[in-house]
Amino acid sequence: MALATPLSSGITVDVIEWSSDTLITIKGHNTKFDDERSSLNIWAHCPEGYFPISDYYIHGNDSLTIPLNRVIYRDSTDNVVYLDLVIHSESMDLVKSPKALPTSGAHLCGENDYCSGMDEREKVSSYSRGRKGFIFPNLRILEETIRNLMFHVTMWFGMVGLLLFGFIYAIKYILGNKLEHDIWASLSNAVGLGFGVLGLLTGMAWAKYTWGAFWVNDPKLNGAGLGVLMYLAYFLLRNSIENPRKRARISAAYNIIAFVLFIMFIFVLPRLQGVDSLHPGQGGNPAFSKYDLDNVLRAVFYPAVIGWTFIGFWIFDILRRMYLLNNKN
Amino acid sequence: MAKNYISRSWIFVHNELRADFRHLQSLAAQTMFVVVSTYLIYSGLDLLGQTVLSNRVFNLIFWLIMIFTVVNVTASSFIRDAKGMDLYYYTLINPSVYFAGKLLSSFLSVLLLSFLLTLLFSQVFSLNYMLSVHWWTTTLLGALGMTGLFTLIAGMASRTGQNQILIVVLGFPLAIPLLLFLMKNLWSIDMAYSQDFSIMSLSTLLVFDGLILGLGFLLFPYIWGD
Repeated sequence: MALATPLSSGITVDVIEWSSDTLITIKGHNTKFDDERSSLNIWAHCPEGYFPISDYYIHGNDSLTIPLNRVIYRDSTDNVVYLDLVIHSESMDLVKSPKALPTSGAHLCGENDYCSGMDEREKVSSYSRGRKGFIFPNLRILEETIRNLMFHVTMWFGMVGLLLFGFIYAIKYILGNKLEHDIWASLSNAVGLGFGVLGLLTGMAWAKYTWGAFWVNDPKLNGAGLGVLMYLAYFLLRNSIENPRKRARISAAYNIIAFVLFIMFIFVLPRLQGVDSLHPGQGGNPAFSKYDLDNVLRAVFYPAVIGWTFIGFWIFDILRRMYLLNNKN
Repeated sequence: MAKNYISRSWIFVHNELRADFRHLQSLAAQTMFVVVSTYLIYSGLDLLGQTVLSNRVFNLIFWLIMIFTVVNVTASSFIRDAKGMDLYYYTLINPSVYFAGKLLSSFLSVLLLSFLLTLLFSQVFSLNYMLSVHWWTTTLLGALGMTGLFTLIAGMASRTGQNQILIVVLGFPLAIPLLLFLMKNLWSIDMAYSQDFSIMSLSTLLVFDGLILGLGFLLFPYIWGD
């Protein structure tokens, strides 16, 4: 579903200036300007209301231009004012590009002017009522890559849950000395490591499209890579000890170190004063305010997190049962 | 009883220090490693025709040599106690004291070697900022963190069969963030104006060291008792 659901429509606005003319070009994503010519509406939104623009040229389903000298607005401060651009057509939801239209001119709004008296506020608000079904919001720069939210982020959550489980069982082994606790800890860490590697791969795929490179020199990314390295070292350590009891002791101790440092690398380090991270969610709160999750997206995202965690524990349980079956003696 | 315990612990620590310096050949080997590395870097740069690198690169090279030195020192301090000796010590003293003793003796060796390396670097590559308080405090804290970390790792690895490679594999991922913190602290050490060098700027290093030493003292007795 995360891969097939369409993205809501979005626009990118560019202003091209030459001599005394200015042209505004609008490039759309998932838009149908041409097909829905008859139901296409464009407004300029200023504090006085929504004023329709009827002089525009459609160049295709994704492309629109507006000559600027058709939009005249001046506020009392006599400066260039940037108005919001609002577009609606039949299949699109109301799409707004804030502060996209630079305007200046000699006419005050309301005086025999293009934008006089045609406030279509009600019409606009009638179009903005609700959205049919679930579609991804179209955010600047992210666009289609928002789909990664459902994979990469949810996987990391599942991974942290699994590694926490392993950590708890390492402590349980230290306190109780039951060998099976150690086995469970190692299996849980194995699944967690698998999720971690997958999370890194999906993150790298996302990064290629968003930042242009598979890996950037970034504290959060480096921390995640180091964490995966540490857990790999944990498995190397386990493989180098023969005696099961000794293996359990030493790997439990290393598990504790690795988990504590891992949490420090992933969560604490990128939030320190003066450490800048490109990774979404840093510099803000961990509820991904940068993604601007709306409620529909949240309704899918939180169950997805729970779902991936359950899948992880299910895999762990299967491995646990396989181990018990193999060692039935 | 308590006084006896304290005096026994202190005697052990004392012995460790003396044992370390009695086996002077390992210390001499480390010294030679330090000197030869410096010479290697110098002649390498000379070959390239440019002996002038950015100061930050020199910081990095310094700390890379230090990491390898610390690995060698801590590994040799545990290898010194052959199979029989560690059991003997285990019956005698608290494992925490054993850890503290190893840590202290390794730390002193590492301090000496870092002193030597600093002198060499500052003279050979003409780096005057290495003779400043900023440099010395950072080096001290960094050496403490590295030594603590690698003492713990070497203790773990000495319980297994193949300790040489294991120390490196286990320890390097944990040492990388420490290295990053050090680099960050030494970022503008060569600037004319004195950057924000205070307890606050060293706070990350202090916290990391505290974390490492705390984890070490917590976990080492568990690893050691067998």
